[in-house]
Amino acid sequence: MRIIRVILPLVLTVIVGYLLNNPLGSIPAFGKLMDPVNGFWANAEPEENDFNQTASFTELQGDVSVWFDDRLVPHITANNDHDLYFLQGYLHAYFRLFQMDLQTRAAAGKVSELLGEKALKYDRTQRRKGMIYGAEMSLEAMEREPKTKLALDAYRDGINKYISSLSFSDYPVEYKLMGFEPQPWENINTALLLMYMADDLTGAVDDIAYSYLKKMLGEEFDYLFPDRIEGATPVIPTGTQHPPASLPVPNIPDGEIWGDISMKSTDENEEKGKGSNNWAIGSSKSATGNAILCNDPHLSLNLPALWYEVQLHAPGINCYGVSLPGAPGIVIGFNDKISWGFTNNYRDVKDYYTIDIVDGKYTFDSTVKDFEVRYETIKIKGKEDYIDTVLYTVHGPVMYDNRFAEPHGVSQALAVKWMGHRASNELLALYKLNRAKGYDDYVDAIGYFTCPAQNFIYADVNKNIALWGQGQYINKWKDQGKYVMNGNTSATLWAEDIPVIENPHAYNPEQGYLSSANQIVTDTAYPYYYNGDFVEYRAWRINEVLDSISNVTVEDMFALQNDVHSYLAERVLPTMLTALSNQDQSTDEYITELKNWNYELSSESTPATTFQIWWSLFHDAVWKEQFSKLGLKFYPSHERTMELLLDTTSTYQGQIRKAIAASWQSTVDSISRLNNRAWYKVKNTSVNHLTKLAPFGYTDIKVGGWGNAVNAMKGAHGPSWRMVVEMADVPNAYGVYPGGQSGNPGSKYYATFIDKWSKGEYYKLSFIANGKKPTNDQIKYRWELSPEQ
Amino acid sequence: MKALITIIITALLAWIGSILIGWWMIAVATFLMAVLFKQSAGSAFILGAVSIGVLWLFLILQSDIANNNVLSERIAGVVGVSHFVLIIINIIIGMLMGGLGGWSGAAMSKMFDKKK
Repeated sequence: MRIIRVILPLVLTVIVGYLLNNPLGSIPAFGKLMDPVNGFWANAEPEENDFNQTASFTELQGDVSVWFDDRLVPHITANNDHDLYFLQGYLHAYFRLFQMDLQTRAAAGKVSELLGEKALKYDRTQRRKGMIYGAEMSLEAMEREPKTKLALDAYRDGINKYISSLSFSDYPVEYKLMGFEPQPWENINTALLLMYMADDLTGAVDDIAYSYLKKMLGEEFDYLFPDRIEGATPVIPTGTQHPPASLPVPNIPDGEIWGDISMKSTDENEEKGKGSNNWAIGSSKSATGNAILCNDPHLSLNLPALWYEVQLHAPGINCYGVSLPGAPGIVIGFNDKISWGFTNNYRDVKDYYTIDIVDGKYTFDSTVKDFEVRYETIKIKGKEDYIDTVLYTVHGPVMYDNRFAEPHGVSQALAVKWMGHRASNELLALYKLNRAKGYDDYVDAIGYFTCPAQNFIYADVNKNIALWGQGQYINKWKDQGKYVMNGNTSATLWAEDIPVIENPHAYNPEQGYLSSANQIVTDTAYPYYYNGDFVEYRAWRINEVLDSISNVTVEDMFALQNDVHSYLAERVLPTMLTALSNQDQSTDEYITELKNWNYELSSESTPATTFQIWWSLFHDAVWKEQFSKLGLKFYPSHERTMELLLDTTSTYQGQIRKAIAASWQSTVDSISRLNNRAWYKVKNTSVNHLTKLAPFGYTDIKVGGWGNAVNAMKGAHGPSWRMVVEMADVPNAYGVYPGGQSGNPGSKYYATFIDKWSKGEYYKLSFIANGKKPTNDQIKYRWELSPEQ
Repeated sequence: MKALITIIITALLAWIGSILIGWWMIAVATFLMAVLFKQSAGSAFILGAVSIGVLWLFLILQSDIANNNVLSERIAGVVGVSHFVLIIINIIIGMLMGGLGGWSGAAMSKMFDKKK
């Protein structure tokens, strides 16, 4: 008996202690988590935290100063590239370690390691589309070039310097909640992050759905899904002289060149709006005569924010802008000579091929070829490793086969050919852009930017502006890669690269400005064939505004980036309302409201809500019957639907008129059930934490806009960085992003900028010019670092 | 008076142990104190629980006030309770471990006593 009295409390203590020290499924280890010494309380950063630091890092080659301004933006001054990128790595890890680690794992398909078997399908998708394969190819290219090799290595060492200094109590709070540990950084992680961007921006193509629709609809498909919307205002202004083509555009080959695709379903093609805006104002339109550059890339809105602001200063470089935690250098920004920005270019650089597999080999040009086999080992939490066998063909990896079925019922094996797999060195493009002194440097730099292709806007201190539709493209025959191709013939292989110098571009055009917003890239005079996933509304609106204004100031640019005017509503609403003449009296209130509406999708607007719901239901109603016969929810674009609505000679007029009336009824039903009809309440723009933990994010943010307005504030997607730079002698720059410099949800710097961002306000960016020391009121904290004690 | 001194010493020991080794040192600290001072099972549990409760309350209030409740409000949201309830649960967890450690220590020291 006595022994039980001794053993019982001991056993109980050990059991309770064990349970509180170890996570149970998704329940965190509460004892460890809530320990006020090392648990989440250690992440509760004091409001008046002193970030000053004087330290010696033996890895440094010289002294380094980091000046933090009042928004905690670091201005790094180093004596050489090595120390500069070492510190950038150290700072990224110091403030943003969790997101770098998680996004790298997500890119590589290593999520099952953390979440268990439920993430296996996701991981296999990443592996099979060749994310690690592509990252390995690019890493080789990056490490072959001494400049980027040096930057990558120093950056990695900086990150690892920080990681190795951590104990459990210092881990970002997300690690404590999720129960895993930071992993040492490797150069491949940077390549993986760049692949992640390439996948986000060029990975989703409609080739498979297009193939099936083309087969089922024949010529009607071309009518409903045209390559080009009439009246589009292309990225490179209509009439621009294109460089002459050095390559002959190939003819469509004879023979069986298409894959025969059948599908059982598709994903809904949501209203597209994933994209961005950028423009540059030339001297003739600018109030001060200085060129002005503007950019607002639209991406998923997350916390910790995607971007990290920084100024990099060392011999040969003095550059300010936003960096991507996980990659050295500045992605979008300016130096004292030039400024640059991006929008996604959306030319199709990812194609699918059907593969005939026979006895473990595949047929090609009447022979059989062996696959190259790549084994992908996926670690799964609490289970044995899963080994996926991925077969590589002359085209690329077989993404779907009988071991991993295409999710919409396509029965054939499909291989994917993707520019993202190229051994390319986008980092070198950024390295050179950060140091560019003028237009020639800029053209040289962006030549290295292979994938994801971007519309690169440019403005410089000498009042020049330029815009390039830049990426690596293939000299394709008409429709090549628009549909799934037959993979067993060399006739469908990608041909030569188009020389990058022949990419469409414009320099100081007569119109006095240049702009892009993910629309079609060129007019029809461009010699090479391309197709892509273009949208037009924002471009129409931006060009309309920029055409009409003169004496442009930075304030005008703020207004345009925050413009919520719906080009779509202005065009279609009068016609839609006319078609409704005989509606019952009960909806009069809504109709009057729409008739008096100014087409602004402002945050409090109620007619904005009515219109957006109506348009969405209308778009569905027009196409639902016709396409559900095919089992598909993949409809003609909103732009095409608008064109057909306005074209009184279109054979679809009957169908459209019917849909207008029917969708109005469901619109009234739907809005009468809403408690609050304010537009921002209905669309619910949110900035979510990467873990989707609601208390770490922000919802119902009071902002207007949508994908059909310049200010494309959608659900969890929108302007991830707004920048306006007037290229004066010292750049006069403004910017804001929806987040804060610290990734720590327990820091007051975590989401500091969201308020200004949602109001459409900006911070003046404190660019410290060459040879200038910052004043004391510019600087809040200092790090003084030296190589020795 | 003696109890107060015991509580302070236990709390200090637990605090140092947590910094140097890990949070579960709170149970080791109360265990050792119960063995050293030959506490009875009941008082060892209570003294252990109170020592850790006082320590954790002090540490939590200190970091929570400096942080202006920013993080604790978010964690409370994740756990699904109010800020106040989170802190109560938090302290109960500490007290439970501290009490169990003390009780174990008392039982252990009693066994050695009897053997002598």
